[in-house]
Amino acid sequence: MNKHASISRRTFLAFNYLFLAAVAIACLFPLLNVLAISFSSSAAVSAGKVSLWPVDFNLKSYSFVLSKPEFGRAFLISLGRVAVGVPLNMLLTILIAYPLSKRSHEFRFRNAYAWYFVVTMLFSGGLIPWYMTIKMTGIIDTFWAMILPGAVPIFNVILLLNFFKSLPDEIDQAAQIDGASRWQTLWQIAVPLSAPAVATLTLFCIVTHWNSWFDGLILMNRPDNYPLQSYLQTVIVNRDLSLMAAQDILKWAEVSDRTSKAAQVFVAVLPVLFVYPFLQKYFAEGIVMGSVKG
Amino acid sequence: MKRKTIRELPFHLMILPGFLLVFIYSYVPMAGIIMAFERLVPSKGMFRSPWVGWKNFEYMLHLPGTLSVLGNTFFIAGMKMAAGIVVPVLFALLLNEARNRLFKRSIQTIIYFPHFLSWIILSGILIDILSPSTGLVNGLLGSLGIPSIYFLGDPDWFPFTLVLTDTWKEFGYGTIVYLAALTSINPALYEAASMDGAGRMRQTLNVTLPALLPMIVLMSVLSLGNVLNAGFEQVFNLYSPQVYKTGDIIDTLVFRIGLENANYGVATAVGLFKSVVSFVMIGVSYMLAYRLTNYRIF
Amino acid sequence: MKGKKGIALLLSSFLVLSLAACSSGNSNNGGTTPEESAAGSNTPKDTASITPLGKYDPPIEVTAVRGITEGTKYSEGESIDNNVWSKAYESELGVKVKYLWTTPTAQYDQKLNIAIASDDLPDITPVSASQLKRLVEDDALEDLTSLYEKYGSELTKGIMSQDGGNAIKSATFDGKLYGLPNMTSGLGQTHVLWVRTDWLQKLGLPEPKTMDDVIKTAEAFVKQDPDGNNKADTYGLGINKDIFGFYAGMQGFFNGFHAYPNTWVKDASGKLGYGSVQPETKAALLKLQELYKQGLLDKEFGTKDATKVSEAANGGKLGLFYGFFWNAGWLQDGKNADPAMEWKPISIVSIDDQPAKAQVPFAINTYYVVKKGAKNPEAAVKVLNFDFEKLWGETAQPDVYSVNNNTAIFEYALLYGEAPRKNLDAYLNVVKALEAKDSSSLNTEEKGYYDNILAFRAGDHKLWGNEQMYGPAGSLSVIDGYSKNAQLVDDAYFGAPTQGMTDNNATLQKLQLEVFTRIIMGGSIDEFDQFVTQWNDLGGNTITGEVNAWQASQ
Repeated sequence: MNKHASISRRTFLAFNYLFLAAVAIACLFPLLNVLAISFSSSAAVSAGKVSLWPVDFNLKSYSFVLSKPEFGRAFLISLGRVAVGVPLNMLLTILIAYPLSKRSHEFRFRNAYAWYFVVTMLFSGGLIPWYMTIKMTGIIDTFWAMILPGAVPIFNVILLLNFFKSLPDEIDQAAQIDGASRWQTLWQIAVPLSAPAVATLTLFCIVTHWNSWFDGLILMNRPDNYPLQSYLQTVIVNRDLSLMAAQDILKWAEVSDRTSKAAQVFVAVLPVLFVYPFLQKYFAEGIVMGSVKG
Repeated sequence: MKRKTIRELPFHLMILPGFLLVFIYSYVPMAGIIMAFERLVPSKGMFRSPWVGWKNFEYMLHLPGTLSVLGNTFFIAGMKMAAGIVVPVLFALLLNEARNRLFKRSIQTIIYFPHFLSWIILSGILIDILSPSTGLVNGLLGSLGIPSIYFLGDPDWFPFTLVLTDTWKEFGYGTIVYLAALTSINPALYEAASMDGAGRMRQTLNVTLPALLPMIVLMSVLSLGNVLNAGFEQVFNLYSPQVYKTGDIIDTLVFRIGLENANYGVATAVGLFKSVVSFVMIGVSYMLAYRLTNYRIF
Repeated sequence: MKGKKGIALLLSSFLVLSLAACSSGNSNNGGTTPEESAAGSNTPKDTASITPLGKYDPPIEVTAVRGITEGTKYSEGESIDNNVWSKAYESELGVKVKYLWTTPTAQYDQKLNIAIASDDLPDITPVSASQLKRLVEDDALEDLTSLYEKYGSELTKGIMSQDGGNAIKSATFDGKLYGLPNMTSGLGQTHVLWVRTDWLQKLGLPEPKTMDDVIKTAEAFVKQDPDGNNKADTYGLGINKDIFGFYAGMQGFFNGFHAYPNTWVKDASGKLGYGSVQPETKAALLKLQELYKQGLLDKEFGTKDATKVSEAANGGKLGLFYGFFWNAGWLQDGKNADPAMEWKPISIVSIDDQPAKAQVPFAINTYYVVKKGAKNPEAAVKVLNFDFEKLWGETAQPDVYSVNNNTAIFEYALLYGEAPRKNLDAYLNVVKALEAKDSSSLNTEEKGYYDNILAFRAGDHKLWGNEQMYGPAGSLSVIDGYSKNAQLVDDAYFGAPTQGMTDNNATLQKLQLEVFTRIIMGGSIDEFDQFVTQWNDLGGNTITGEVNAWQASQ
């Protein structure tokens, strides 16, 4: 390396750091905005004074949110949904991805199965038949309505099967020669070697479950059983108040106050923000495909 | 032959639970595609409602503006797909150059943040910061001497605003994926290239990009399924009459029809049309990828 | 242990089953089959249950679904399934209401559409006009004509026909009544002009009396720095991106030009025409274009919905807009932030010497329908009788059933409706009581407004909104003025959506909004004439024909 290159390299690096930091700030903006609003007085917010820093700092909106039993209940339902739904997602993803990662001569039906699953990413019967099927299986208005219909995340299956493919064949063959069953090979060799990919996909599943709102709204028969995001949806959406009785309008103003909305949004994002950096260390090796590995 | 079947039995068993769930909750509802050819009369049920043949499709085609809406959808979705590949790859390359581990990790964490906020919340924020008179972004552009741009109200700009904001919201995910692929490139390859006298730029072109290629192909093919998904929630929350010309997409059009008279036949017909197009796209690119690179994507 | 328990369970359920078999066998011997007893409840022998308020004995169960207003409060231990109303239905009417599902009102339509499409209706369902039409066409509803005649109480029939029978007509298809309209007031959906009077004072301006005044006021609000911060950061006349609507809409402005967009109006020859395509609408649009050019409308209005515009008003950047009488509720936030802020609702103004008339949309948005084959189709009528009786009848107990302790108890009722003049009457009564300093003649709801107004006058500006709506100079006084001076134009069409409307409205409304926005933002006014032609070609002609045919049949 000559000196000249090193100077231009340093300039590049400096600009690069600056650029990356600027992008990061741009990405942080909305969240900081929401946070600042949640800590400000509603007077300051409606006067449009709040952007990144709270004005008239106070915790009123948070005490309002905490005093709402609906919020706590919905929060718990969402936690339960993640606790049950994510392990099930991962179990099924692993069980499908492993056989599909085999070549056709090892597993003759892999292509047929692969298309069987991929087709469902593209075709659907639409909302009504989906609803009727779930109703037919008798899980409507139960916890399972939010778990079973989406239990197989096909996109994740494809990512994981590519990771499995990248594992050296020799390991698998050695295990077979040692007399290990397919199941033992999967759980004792393939899965541990794929820990980073499993961690990454786990995060994706957590985010999906935590953020879904539509199924809760449609499949639950009582607002009391809504998960957090469905509940939030009902609070945040703008409403035409023209059909409301005059008494209700003043009441509505309290619930939809922008500071308390912001506080609820922020509390709802928190758990994912908390889990994310924790799982993130696996991302470095997250999803890698066979040919990438030298 | 029989031994092979027995050897493959565990594979079948592994797939079975997922197979059944997918059958019940994805394949059974697909029977509803029949509604695309019917006028649904709920009390008669899905299979006994009057058959209307291709009428629902014709209805869509004859609506004034359907063609331009289709064009908008292709344009916006296509640009989003392209940006969704290029931006994360570039950003991952740049981020990979940064050597400070803490910095790298923090940036990686932060760029995933916008993903967590819904379009409903973001639209409120975006209308403020993209405003041509009082917005932050135009303030910045103004200080650089660029005249202010009405990002959300100018029909020429609107599609690009959609692409820009969507990319901004979602590029963190792709970046993480590509960064993961980058870190696992064998360092020996770089050493070899360096010995051959290749500079940073050449190394990127000759070593890094080829190594990323399979990942890029995989992500592109998977995203092709979205060729007609221009992002309903985003457009619905950001568009306005002055940008209908360039901003109205299939999903918003169908939503308006659905809102008026709950016309499930038409909605299903549109859905079927989108599915067929996506299926063809994915099928073709799957075959192409296999022929050209001998690589099976799934 | 476990096994034994299982067997015991199995045995006992077996016993229950065989007992059930026995008892049904017995009743067969007794001469009544289950079919007969089910039919018995359809045509009750006891006279009590055929009277409008008679009790069912034995009690019946009625299934229903509903939306629940966000923020609805319940007393301790109560819920939508268990409250004053549900208990009264059961003990006094012998009707047990079972909600199959409930949902926040914003999601109700979506959830109901799914229920309709999957043929999963309860006995009683609140539906919209277009849903009503769909259900009638699909023959999914019970004909209520004779049931309403037979079971409807005098009070019910009185309230339902207070609007001259249009509400009932709108739910009648081929002479058969298929839904009970949820009575509300169209008057409550007329526009008033909201203006910042503290700004007027500061700039030495009079209250706007004519359209020219309104424009001058808007100009002054833009150019003379009413908020005194030495920045040109205030808007003239508020307008939202939909152009029309309940807050910062432009109906009131168009009405000033004797244009009535989005409604059907009678022309000189007595035929019905669509207000949006009339020449008066063109004149109003031209004026709006002028205002936009002069900077009196927000340059970016096209991206701002009502909520965004209200942020400008509450933030002290906007002092003039058209809207509904209850907009005071939204302005309350601004008043809280800046108590010096003063708004006044005034009557809409005219461009010429003819007084402006406010357009009144057709009031009914919700109908209660009964599923075809429901066991007790008359129960819906009886519950409605019961509701009206408890709310406004001779034995009414408003403090128990309407509003108490700031809780809107009336929302728990299964069917609802209010006399179209309710809010206006409340205003008149409250004002009378304020003058006489005597609230004894007020009902509980009115008493609430009365107390709040007194509290506001004593200095609690968090209750300012009450004075602005129900006070002597409140928004309802403006509407009362419209009604007294015959300054109202009713939407002349109030039938169900026609086939042409269902087919083409999505396209036509988009076209209208697109063209109107473009014209206001400086497009050629010739576009209006093209719009009229296009509107007619794209289904408007058909719809006009259908609407006139409907009128002829009335």
